Amino acid sequence: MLHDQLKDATADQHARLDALPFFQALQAGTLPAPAIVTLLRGLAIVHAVLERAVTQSADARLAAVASATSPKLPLIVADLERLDVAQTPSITPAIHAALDCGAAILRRAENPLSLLGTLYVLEGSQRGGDVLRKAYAQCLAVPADQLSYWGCYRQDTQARWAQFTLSLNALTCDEGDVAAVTDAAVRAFEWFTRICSALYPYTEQQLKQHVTAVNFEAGDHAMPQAPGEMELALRAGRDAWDRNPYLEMRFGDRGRRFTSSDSCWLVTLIHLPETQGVRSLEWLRSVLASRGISTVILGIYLQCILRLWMDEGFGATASGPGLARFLADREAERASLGYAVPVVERYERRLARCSGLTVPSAATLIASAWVDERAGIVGALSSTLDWFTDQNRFTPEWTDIVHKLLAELDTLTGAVC
Amino acid sequence: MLRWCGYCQTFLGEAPPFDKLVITHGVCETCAELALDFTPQNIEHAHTLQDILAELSLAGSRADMQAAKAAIRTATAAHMQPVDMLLGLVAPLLFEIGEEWRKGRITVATEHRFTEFFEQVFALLEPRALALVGTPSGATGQPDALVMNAWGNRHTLAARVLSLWLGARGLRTQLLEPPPPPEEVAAIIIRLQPRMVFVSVALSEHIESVRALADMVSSIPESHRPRFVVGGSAVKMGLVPDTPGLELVPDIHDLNLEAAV
Repeated sequence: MLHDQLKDATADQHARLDALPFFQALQAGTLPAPAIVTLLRGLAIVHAVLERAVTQSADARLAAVASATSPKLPLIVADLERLDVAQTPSITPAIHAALDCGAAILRRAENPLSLLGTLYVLEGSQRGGDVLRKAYAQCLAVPADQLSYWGCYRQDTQARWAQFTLSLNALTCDEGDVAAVTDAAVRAFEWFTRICSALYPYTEQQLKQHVTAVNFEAGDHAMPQAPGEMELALRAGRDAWDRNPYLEMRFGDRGRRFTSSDSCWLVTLIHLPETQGVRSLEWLRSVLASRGISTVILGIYLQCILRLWMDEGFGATASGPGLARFLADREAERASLGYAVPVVERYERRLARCSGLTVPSAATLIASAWVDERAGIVGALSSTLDWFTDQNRFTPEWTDIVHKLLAELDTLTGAVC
Repeated sequence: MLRWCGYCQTFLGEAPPFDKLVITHGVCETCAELALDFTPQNIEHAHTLQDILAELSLAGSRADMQAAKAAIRTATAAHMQPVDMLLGLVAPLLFEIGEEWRKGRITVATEHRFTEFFEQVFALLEPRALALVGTPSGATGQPDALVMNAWGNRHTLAARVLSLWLGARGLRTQLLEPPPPPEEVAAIIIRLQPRMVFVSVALSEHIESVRALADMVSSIPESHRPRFVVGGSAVKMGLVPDTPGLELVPDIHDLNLEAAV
């Protein structure tokens, strides 16, 4: 039976993991909070990759087993929010190990059965979670019922595990399949051993703000480390988000998380010399514009950041020459392309009067995507337009006005040229 | 653009724009000394290389190792050296994959699968490259050069390809993978006194740690202090500011290696 084979194949790694100082400190009630918070962040990285890969897979056997589980990522996100630990630094080697683990899962996802091995290890970890939840809560000095990830099935834990193992054993597997599943499970234990070894003991130098604390899908990029800068970045991100309802409408919670992480990265650019700051922003511009986030939104981010930066008195340390220059360049670019604000505003009013769903600043966003495309970002316009002309979302009147706006912009360019 | 010698099929390096994988031909110094002229065969060879590049790219997108092996056979028949295939075909394709992600054309998952595929291609070519070099890089004696990733850069393939390429140019290299803590690397540098230290950076922020390392070994007398050569995609894209004590090199072929040998 597959379950027995998995149990035998992973017994040694399981024992090695359980014997780590991390778990000894946890049981003794002495595990420091950053180790637990970082573990949750690492688990968010791994679960995000795994759950997305499982959902995207068309493999019937994987789907059959996965249906016996429930997604854990929302629980981890909720726990982190309840613990209110956004400013708590991460133990970076453990985060790097979690990112490597996520990358390894992705690389092996070509064979869906490898996902099954990882799923087995993570699902199995819920069994001890009920006991561990109390220990984690004690270390964090919070009531145990505030933690929802560990032991998430509560009184149904044993029944859910029985159902899961039953679905595993019901699979038809040849020798190669079994090898793929067990190999992935052994590797998953090895990854978690690496992560937990890095979590405890740790050194003060390893404690840093890492981007995955604000967005578990952001990978690994620069974060502001100076006191107050990260908080400023998050506030600026929230301001920019509130000023662009389109982001919420189109990208939802995932977009909100990327707004936070992007905002943090943008703040780090303030310290760069002008040329490198501008090049970095041009790079991000092309990344965003290709995904339906036209440059006018990036401009709003930068304005929010610069305003807060100056208001909060950070201006003495750096002035963000790259950010200011980038904004000035965009203004010049719009002028050179014949971008006419009155025209865009006229269409803004027309779109606002449409029946059905409307999006604030839609004409500005579309016109900005049009500028991006003209500036050489291939696909910028279509990635915005596809959404704004989706007939399942908007009325024919709306899409008709959008097309007229584009036609008029094209005419204006012709006049400039 | 990727420049290859039209006569001996040696990879000559890259030329701006770095994000355009178009094969162009030049003449390496050795062939130039022979005063050879371009022939129609050189033009045809450029097309062959472009085809191999396209075949490898397609093989990567389909994770098709058999197709990759066929492309390598074609390249071998065209007298290309394994290390040149790695630096002149595989490395640019990896850069191109990053660009495809930037443009929103592929997902992170696809990017990772490409990388995994090219790891296998590397594994295929590495023994052949080493066989031609004679002894494995850094296997004997004091290394001329240390090669490492900047801390935080977890894309290891570029550093491994570079190590092979330096070995093919007569340098004894030692690859530090994964990079030990900065204090340990500083101790290695002081102990082994390599002439050059090559560091690969993928993101502009990685430069901070390299600068810190260079500071650590600044007490070594100048005559024995290694050159710190910094390359990688962040340098290629101009995202790394000029930094005293560090040589930023977008294309390794532009570097004078004679002093290190």
